[in-house]
Amino acid sequence: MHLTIYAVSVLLSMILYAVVGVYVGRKYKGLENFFVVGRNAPTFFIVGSLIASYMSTSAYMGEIGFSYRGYMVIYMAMIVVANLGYVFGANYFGRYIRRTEVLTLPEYFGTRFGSKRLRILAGIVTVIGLSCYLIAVTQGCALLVQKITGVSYAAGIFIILLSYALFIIYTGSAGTLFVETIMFIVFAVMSIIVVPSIINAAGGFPDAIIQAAMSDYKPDMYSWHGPHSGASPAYTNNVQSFNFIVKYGIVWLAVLAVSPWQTSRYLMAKDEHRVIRSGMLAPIAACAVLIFLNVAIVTVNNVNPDISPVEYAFLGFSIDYLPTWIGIVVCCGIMAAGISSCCTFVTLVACSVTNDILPLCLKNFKTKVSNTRVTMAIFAIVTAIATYYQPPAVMWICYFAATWLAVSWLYVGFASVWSRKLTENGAFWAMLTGMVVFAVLSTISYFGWMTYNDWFIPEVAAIVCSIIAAWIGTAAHKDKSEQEIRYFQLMHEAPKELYEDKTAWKKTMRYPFIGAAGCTLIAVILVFYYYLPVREAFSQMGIL
Amino acid sequence: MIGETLFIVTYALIPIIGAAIVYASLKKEYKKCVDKSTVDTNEIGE
Repeated sequence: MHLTIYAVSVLLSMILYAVVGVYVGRKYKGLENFFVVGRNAPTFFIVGSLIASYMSTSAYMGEIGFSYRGYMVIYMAMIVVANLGYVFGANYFGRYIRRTEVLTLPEYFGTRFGSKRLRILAGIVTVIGLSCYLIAVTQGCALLVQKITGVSYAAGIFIILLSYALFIIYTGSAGTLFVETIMFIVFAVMSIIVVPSIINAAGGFPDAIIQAAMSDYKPDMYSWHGPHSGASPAYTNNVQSFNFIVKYGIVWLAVLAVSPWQTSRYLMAKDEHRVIRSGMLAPIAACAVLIFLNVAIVTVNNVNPDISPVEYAFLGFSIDYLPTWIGIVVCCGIMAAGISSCCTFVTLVACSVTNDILPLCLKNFKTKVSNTRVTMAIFAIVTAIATYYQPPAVMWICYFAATWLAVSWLYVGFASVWSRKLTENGAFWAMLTGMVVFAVLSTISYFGWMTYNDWFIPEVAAIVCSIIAAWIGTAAHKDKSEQEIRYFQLMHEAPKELYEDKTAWKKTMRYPFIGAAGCTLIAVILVFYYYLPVREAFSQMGIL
Repeated sequence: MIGETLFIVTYALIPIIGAAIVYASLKKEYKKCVDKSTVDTNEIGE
């Protein structure tokens, strides 16, 4: 082990997060504070927490490695489709969930349909999905620790486990929310300030982009479809590239709209105005943080096109080729993104287990803060062990977990708020069918028992099956309980805060304009930063 | 350059469409809330 300046900086930042987390967390006592921070969070904290739990080592190691391979455009196109999940999720799902004052999403599904089996199923979906995601994020963090300290992979996992578990077990959601917001600021600043350094090191603007666009080694890196030939392409034709945008666009849209680690943030919001505003600001933050960095990372190929594994592309380049202080910022930023997601996942899983699964499965089990803390500790240790035995594949494990949640919850989530017809039986079978169909189709593909046609998208097939199961299930049992009817009405009754404060309403009504203007501004910057240099490259190559 | 042009256009267009849909629904809801608030105030007055 060698204590480099990078390792010391990351260690200091971890200590800072732990101190802040413990300091903030000690002010919040009781179950509701531990789970949802007393439902008092302002817009900035909600946005910070949304982005921090969304972006993890998957974004800065897995997906950025994907961009480095030359698939930046399909990845960023997928992100812009997915960002609609924030807009629609906050407005058509998140604010209605907040009205129910539940502590977890599985509790919402269970109470909405008056169903124990649905609550347990939703809890199980949450635990399995978030466990996979946590494994992937921990892998990314462990790889980073390994790179900057030279310790073994196992030791890296142990260091990561200690760095987040020790304070998050004590502070719960309160610490998570505050620390995540700080971490969001750290990695957002990092993502912006590192861009000029990367471009300069790769040949300066716009030459670096033109040179990368004209590469023979990995051709078409800036084309919309990415490389279909050259060094180990991920896709071999345009249909496959387009499918990536469609299927993962839908999957991540669903994740941002209805997944537990995104919508649980809305449960913490001070009021519904904050939920709507957060949903409009989050896409700007997500786009701004990701797009410029991902365009820049392709130019790293000008300096070194063979970084392996590709997960090290951003981190390795920053340490090896950029000024030391930039490397420090990058290490701290990536670690902040990873640890923030670890905090969210451990908290959510423990809350689901102690609030939704164990009380319904074990007699005499009561949901208490102490039980939740013990569950957090056990879960963190179990996932650390699982991480050690799972070969690193940061991006694809995250995508599996995201898809797992999306296919199970997308239809049931929105229909639970907007469909008067959907019954408990329909909701249960829709969730179960989406999950099982996806698991079966993925297993068939993973073991190579069958190769799917380029036009067949298993994720979309699973969502369609989930919708069909909802219809059949509802048709089979049309009767609704009193609770289902009452709960549905309750969700659609606007709270006083909505019609008493016209000033707040007017302020909220400005946010769609702010959201649209922010994203348009990013598109305009992209014209100068990406489009014109690439056009110049194509012109020099005689393509235009 | 068609795909690349579409990429840029999409980057601006998709958020604008999303924001427009949300704005329309918020406006409708705001009107409902203002009406409800007026009714409540009248009831208190009576």
